[in-house]
Amino acid sequence: MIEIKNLKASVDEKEILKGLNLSIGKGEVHAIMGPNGSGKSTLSYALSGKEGYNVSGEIKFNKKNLLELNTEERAQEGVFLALQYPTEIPGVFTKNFLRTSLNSIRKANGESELNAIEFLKILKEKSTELKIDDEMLARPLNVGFSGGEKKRNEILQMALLEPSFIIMDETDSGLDIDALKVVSNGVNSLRDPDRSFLIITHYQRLLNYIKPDFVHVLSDGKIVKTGDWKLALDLEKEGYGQFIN
Amino acid sequence: MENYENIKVNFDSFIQSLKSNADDIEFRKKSFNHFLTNGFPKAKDEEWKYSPLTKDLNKFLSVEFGKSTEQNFPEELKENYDHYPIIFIDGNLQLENVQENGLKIVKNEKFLKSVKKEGTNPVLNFTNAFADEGYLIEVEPNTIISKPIVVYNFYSKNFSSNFVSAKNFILINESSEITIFEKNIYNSDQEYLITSNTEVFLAKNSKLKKYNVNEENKHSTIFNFTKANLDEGSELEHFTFSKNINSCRDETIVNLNGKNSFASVSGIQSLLDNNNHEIKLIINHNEEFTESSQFIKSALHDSSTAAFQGKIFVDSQAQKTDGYQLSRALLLSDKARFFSKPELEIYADDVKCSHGSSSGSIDNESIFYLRSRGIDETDAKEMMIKGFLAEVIDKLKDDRFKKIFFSKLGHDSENV
Amino acid sequence: MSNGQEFINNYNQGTEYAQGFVTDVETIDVPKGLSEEVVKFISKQKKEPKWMLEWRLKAFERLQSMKEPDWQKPKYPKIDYQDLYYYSAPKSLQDQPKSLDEIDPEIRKTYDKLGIPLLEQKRLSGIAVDAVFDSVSVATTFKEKLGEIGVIFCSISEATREHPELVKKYLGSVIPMSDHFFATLNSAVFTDGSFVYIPPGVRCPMELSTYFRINASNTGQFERTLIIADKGSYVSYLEGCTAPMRDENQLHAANVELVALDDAEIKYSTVQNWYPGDKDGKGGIYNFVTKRGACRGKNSKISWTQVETGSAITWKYPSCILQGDNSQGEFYSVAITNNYQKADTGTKMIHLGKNTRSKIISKGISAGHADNTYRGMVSIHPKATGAKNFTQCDSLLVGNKCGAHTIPYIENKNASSEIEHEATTSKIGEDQLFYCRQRGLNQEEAVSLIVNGFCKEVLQQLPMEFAVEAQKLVGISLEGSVG
Repeated sequence: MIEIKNLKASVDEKEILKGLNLSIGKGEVHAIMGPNGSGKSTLSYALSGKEGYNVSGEIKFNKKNLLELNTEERAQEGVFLALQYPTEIPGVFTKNFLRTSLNSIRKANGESELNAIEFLKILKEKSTELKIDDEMLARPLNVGFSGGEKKRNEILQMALLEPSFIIMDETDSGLDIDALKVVSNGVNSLRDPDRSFLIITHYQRLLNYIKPDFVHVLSDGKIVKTGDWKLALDLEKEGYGQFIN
Repeated sequence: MENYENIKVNFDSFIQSLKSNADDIEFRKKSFNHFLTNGFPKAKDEEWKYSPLTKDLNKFLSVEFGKSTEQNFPEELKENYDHYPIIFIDGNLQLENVQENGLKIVKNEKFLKSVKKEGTNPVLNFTNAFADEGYLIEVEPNTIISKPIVVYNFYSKNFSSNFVSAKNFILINESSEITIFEKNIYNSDQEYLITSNTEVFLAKNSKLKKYNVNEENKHSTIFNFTKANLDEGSELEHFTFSKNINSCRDETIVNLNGKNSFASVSGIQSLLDNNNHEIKLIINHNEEFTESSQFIKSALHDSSTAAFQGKIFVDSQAQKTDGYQLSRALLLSDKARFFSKPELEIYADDVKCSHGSSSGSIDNESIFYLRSRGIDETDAKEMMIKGFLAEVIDKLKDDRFKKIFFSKLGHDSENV
Repeated sequence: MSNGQEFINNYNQGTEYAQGFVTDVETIDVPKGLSEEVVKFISKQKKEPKWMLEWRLKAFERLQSMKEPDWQKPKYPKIDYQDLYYYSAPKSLQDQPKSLDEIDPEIRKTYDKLGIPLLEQKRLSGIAVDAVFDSVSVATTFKEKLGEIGVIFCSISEATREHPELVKKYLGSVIPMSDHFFATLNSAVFTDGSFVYIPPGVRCPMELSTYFRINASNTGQFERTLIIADKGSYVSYLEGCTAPMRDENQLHAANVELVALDDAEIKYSTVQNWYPGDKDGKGGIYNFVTKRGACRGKNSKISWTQVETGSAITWKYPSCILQGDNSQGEFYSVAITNNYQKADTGTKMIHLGKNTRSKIISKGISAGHADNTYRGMVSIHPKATGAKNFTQCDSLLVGNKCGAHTIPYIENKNASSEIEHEATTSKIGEDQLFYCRQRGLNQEEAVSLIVNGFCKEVLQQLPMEFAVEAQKLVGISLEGSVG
């Protein structure tokens, strides 16, 4: 499904990812754990094509090299990045944004664009499942949303856009236990044999709710250890010290 | 020094043609002489520092009122909801009969005679010297007019001269309410000088919503002056939507004279090409417990320039006042320019006043977020710009006009 | 407030303008009035080289066709420039004392009283002082020690003789001779001030400072200061100023020029405590000053910090011209006006180079019948790609007979730049006062504690030695403003 080879990324001539290799199969859930500064966020930006990063190596995704695609083209291919701090955009109404986004992706994939009625029907369905009320969707995108609401909005987008590869960048940070459950329930309900996940996190906590197939330790821009979900428990107990240097 | 000989001749023949009383003639002469002492404003005048008019007014060293041959206002240009129309065709006022208790719409003769004091603003003096048409809207006490009034300023293809000037008067008596929507429709591509002076009086506990649209005029030079006086408990909501306007100065002065009066003055500007638009705004808090808000946003494409000069003045009497001002601009091209002079002048200590002004490019984080959801860069930017401007509209209190302005922007909150 | 307690301990020491005494010395004065002869006289007194005199005369000539500006908010009675003395110096300093011990004891005592001991054994540690008395520099301490690492710190008069190549190159290069009326006047008749040159790569090991004292009556003081930080160097400079209490208004019209070359940094701090006039607005200094810094080199930085508590009228805009790519300008200001004092102050940040940054933090406090104006300009030029500015202007009013005015000019001509401007006006909260008083502070202590908190962001920028002094001044300046 996704094949990352010798991925290097630098910002302002400072190398942050230093040759990362990772392979994720269809339907698999991988977790990447690592201390602060190990390159976790850079990895998520390199995968989703944020500008300002100098990236080399190879990211094969459904036979395409993602590095040749820009941000929206990757999204249209099915790459979804759930952000740690979803961006607030005043004046852009959430509903309007969701429809534009969904139709852009449909159009790129040769599907027909949804009219307002069709769209609202799907939106209603998905938002009801996630217990998101209409009032929130009428507000400007993420503006004035609580931390929990922002994360729920990200999950709603996943459900709506139906990406095949979901990257979650520290989605658990700053969430209380209830919000954490909303996020993990959302993710679990989206687990599918055709959909892969890459969960990037500092803490093992989230992995209690979303059980990964593989756990990797990222340190100094490289994956230094790979194991099953028990590795996460080890890390929680022992800390990252053992992997650094 | 510019040569004003032609304008003098214009003025003399204009005065000759007027069928007016001696007081009026004298006031016009005074205003005109006042204008002549310094002529059109210069860029070095502090009050006109960033004004596009300093450059453009000199194209009008000879002015001519038009007796247009156009008599008809195209019916299809009328708004498609129930309203009372006031129509100016090439500066000539056409009134329809209004049948509603408590509402009077007539040709403004009262105000033509009511203003006796000439000011220091040269363009206003110029307007006061020449303006010969205008509407007067008066709402009697305790009357709520539910249908909006729509003022159409229509410029036809059959208008060959270069100058239009109006003086309008709006009086809302105690505990009354009304909404006035004023729009400019340019059916001609000529170079006009268009000036107006609108005086507004809001009596105790009255409410006025005044919305203006000024769009699609590639050549004209426009000066709009509005002065509003607010009595106790009255409320003014003033909003201007400007799009693709060649050269314009919108000047608004609000006097909060009564306790608990409130004024909101806002606007959005979407400027293209060489558009140059200036907003000058002064809010005077003259009495305690008054509140004001100024909110202006500009999206600047191509080689356009926007200037914002806003001031909150608080008199030493005006304790417990609240004044807020925000101006923000998006520079969308290398050649776009934004000038701002947000000013506070405060003489009372128990007040809350603040202003903010920012300008810059579209936020890259937001663009990334939208693109990461599959929206291409052009659409993402378009969305951001509309969203940026929509924020001002979103704060308006009138739902009907909110929708109208949203759809003008191509940004509809209801219709996803 | 880390220094709060210390501040309160110091608080009651001075209850009026403690620096208002007069020193009785015999002086050499030039005849009253402004003329070519006076310019020549000053130049001669300073034993200046010929080129310097020619420069002055050129300025004098240009002055003839210039008009005094009048756009400022504080208006003042017309100054009769022919009724002023342009030079006054203690006679004892005529032959330039060879060592500090030779200085007239009266003058030494003056500085002792002001807390600026000039004698070797009593000197402030870590601070080198250039002491200017009316029109002449009395003494410069630690000169030799600084000389060992190549730092030049002397009076500007001495620099015109000893370092003509540097003065010629940089004098008037930041503030052009005919920039405006007062700058030109200063260029013609400047008397003394400091000259600083920091050689490449040197981090000046001590604070440099100038202490300006106006003593003579009816005399204008025309300070001229020039600071050059060569590539990769650093210097922190501080000026202080006081004057006797006199009934007439006196003019202090200074020009201060700073030049920072590649990777250099200049930190310039001012604690301005000129005589503010009495509580009815009689007397006090007109402080009309032109201060401008050029960040000429890449990655250079100039930071202005000012605490303005004195003067009848303060009228100045310490500014930065950000020419070098990645250069930075900062302006931190506290301006306090009480009684009938007036201030019209702020800054200009002119962004010319790429990725230039500027930050403006201004705190204006107005009490009594005073009027306090912040006036500033942020201008981003078309080539200043990636430039950023942040401005915060806060005003605090005490009572409703005073005024606060904020007039920023913002000009953005580059689409990749960001300008943020915020301003607020507020008063001292009743609840804040109550809280302090409930904890045992009296009204005035509470006010100065709160005002110090309001100014904290700026006061923090001062060198430590002066921060306490400045906090004290903040409190004293507001005395009697809250009833």
